[in-house]
Amino acid sequence: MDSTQLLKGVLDLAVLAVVDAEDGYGYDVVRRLRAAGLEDVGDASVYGTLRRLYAAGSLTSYVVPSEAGPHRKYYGITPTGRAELKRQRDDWNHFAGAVSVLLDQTEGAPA
Amino acid sequence: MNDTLNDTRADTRADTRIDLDRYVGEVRRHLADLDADTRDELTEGLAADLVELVEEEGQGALRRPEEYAAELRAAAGLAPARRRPLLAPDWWRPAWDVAVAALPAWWVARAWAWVMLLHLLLWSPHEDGYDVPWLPTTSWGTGLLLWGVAAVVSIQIGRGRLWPGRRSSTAALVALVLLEAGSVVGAVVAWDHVDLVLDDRQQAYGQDVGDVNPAVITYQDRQSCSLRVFDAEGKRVLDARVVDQEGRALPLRNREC
Repeated sequence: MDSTQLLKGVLDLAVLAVVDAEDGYGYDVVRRLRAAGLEDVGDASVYGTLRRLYAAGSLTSYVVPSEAGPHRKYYGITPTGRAELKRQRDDWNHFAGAVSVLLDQTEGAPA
Repeated sequence: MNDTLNDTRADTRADTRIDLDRYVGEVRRHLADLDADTRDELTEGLAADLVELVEEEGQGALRRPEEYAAELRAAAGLAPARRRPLLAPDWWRPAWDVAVAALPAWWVARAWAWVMLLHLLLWSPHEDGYDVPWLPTTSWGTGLLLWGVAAVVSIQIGRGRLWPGRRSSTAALVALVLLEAGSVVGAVVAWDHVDLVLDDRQQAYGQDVGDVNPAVITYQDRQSCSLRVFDAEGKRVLDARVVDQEGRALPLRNREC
């Protein structure tokens, strides 16, 4: 199965969940998503998603100066983002549960 | 030994930074059709993220800038590039931003050009108007008021609040072209008028005419307040200069008369 398409559908949810756990900058979020098992996630997709969620008011951002290199832009979740995360988590649980039940039923059925 | 190793790492990191700055610049070029704020929002902090990416995965982790920009744009929910930014030179976007920022000034200037054009076309400029040659009437107050009203109308058109504004119908486009063309013509005509008046004034009052009163003409023992020149058809010549037998310019108007 092409996980890229699945990933597109849940990237907002995944990014919100990661940032809800702890504020992070772009590549830090990418790293945490990959560590969680989403190895195919593209860094540009994550950066674009972060900017979109920020524009939608789900995330806030702040810049942390760095003496060693360019400044880092951190993202944190907002109350709007938490509400969105809860809504999407409920949707995902309902959807995943329904698909799981469906698959369990068809697995045992005669061919 | 450790110092040497650290120096080497620092040099490598600096080289990487230079490469990544160039890479981010290329990505930004492929986002050139976006407004400056959106482009900055998309790429702010990107260099720092890419430094880590390259340090962990090497330069091979970087895709072509146009692909990267396209993915960034799509994930951010923005429409694909409307035109090919590669065809636009580097200075195009900043120049465009400056031009957009200067639009309100152009709207005000356009209003001036139009009121001056109408003034010069509909009314022969009275000599009293020479006091304020760059305004469409004889006085500062009325002139500024007319210009202000015209400026408000012009600004509202520019903002799309008044027809033809930003309409895309054929009639609106034609009207906009005529509006802008008239502005250019008006500006040229008005500027020529101002230049003429100022030059005339300089001719009248600025030249040395000896030990006589330079502002007074006498003719058959009568003092003339002004001289006016008309052509063979009786039409007044506004840009005429009158000189005496020695080539000295005569005053065309005596302010104190």
